[in-house]
Amino acid sequence: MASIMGAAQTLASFEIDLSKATNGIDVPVSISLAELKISSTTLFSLAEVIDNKKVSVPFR
Amino acid sequence: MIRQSEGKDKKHSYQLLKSAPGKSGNITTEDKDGALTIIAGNRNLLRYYYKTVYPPAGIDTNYKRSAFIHPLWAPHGQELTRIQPTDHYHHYGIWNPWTHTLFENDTVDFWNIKGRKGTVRFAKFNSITNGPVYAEFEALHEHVVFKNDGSEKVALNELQTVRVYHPAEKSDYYIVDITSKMSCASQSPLLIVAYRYGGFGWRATEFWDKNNSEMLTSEGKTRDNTDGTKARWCIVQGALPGNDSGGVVMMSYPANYNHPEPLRIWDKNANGGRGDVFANFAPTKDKDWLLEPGKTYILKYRLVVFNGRFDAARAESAWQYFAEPVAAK
Repeated sequence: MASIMGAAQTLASFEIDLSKATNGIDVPVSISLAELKISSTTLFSLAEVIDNKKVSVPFR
Repeated sequence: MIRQSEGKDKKHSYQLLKSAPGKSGNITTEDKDGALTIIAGNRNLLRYYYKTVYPPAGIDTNYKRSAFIHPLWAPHGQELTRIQPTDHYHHYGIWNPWTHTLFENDTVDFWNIKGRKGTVRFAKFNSITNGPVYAEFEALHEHVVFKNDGSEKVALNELQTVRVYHPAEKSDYYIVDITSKMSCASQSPLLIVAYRYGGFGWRATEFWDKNNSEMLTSEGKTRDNTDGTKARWCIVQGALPGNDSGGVVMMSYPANYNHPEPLRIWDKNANGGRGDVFANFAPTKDKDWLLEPGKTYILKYRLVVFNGRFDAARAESAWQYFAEPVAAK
């Protein structure tokens, strides 16, 4: 995974708390962006913040 | 998809940024020779047949069928499904017909298709999706009744969505979600009558027999005492070619009819003592189900397809996050 360079504008921040044991299994997550009112032409990306670094993660 | 590795924090922080998305590999579909194959990198994961597949020459062509999954591949490439075995030509990998039903005063069997009372067939794709997180297709399946006068009538329309999540590179497992939305195709209801098998079935690889395969359910049942019990999940695993091992965890969603669902499992004496593997979430095993016009009925299943061995703790974790998806704050 690549770090995201530069200072891209943050459109939203959120946290996901995996309170139950995952035992090493990936967890599919879905979040509604309807409330953000992002233009359909806006290019955006998703990053996980790890140790103050933004790491690009796949999303759709 | 939140990737997991041992020792990782429970809390994950994310930002949605106004910038072009980073490059990442896609999980894709390939449409070829009447089948749609889902591929991650250079690994085939799952193939769905939309063309009608006929049985071998000399076998009753009533056994032909479309709209089924085969092969389902383990991450290391071994086939985990089987179609048209000589003992049951109507077995088609992963497929989901109903067995004992009542439609317009006739008894109809969509499972045992040799009798030509009914079948299930592919009608069209509503969507096919590729992308960095998952590949998915939604297909319309028609549950067709062959009437006594020679005509046919669709009793049930089923929108089946198959979503395969992109496995991490070199991962030894991947996740498949299969969702069926069923609705009556006419003003006639369909009564699914309680029967010992029917619904979400998996005829497993011919490599498995009573000596090299095993099962474990969420209720602690094993192969010889599982049939007829109910479960939230069921691990089916065993040895695989290449001195390897693997299998599938089948999971039932809590909102499914008659959940935890009854299981139909062949025990070690199946097929003349060979012990072939067949596993089936059969929600109507002990209970009728009336499907009424104007309503939509949903069944959801998740498969974790893996190499190596799976234990109860991992299966339970996977089921918990399937049953109760995480929410973002």
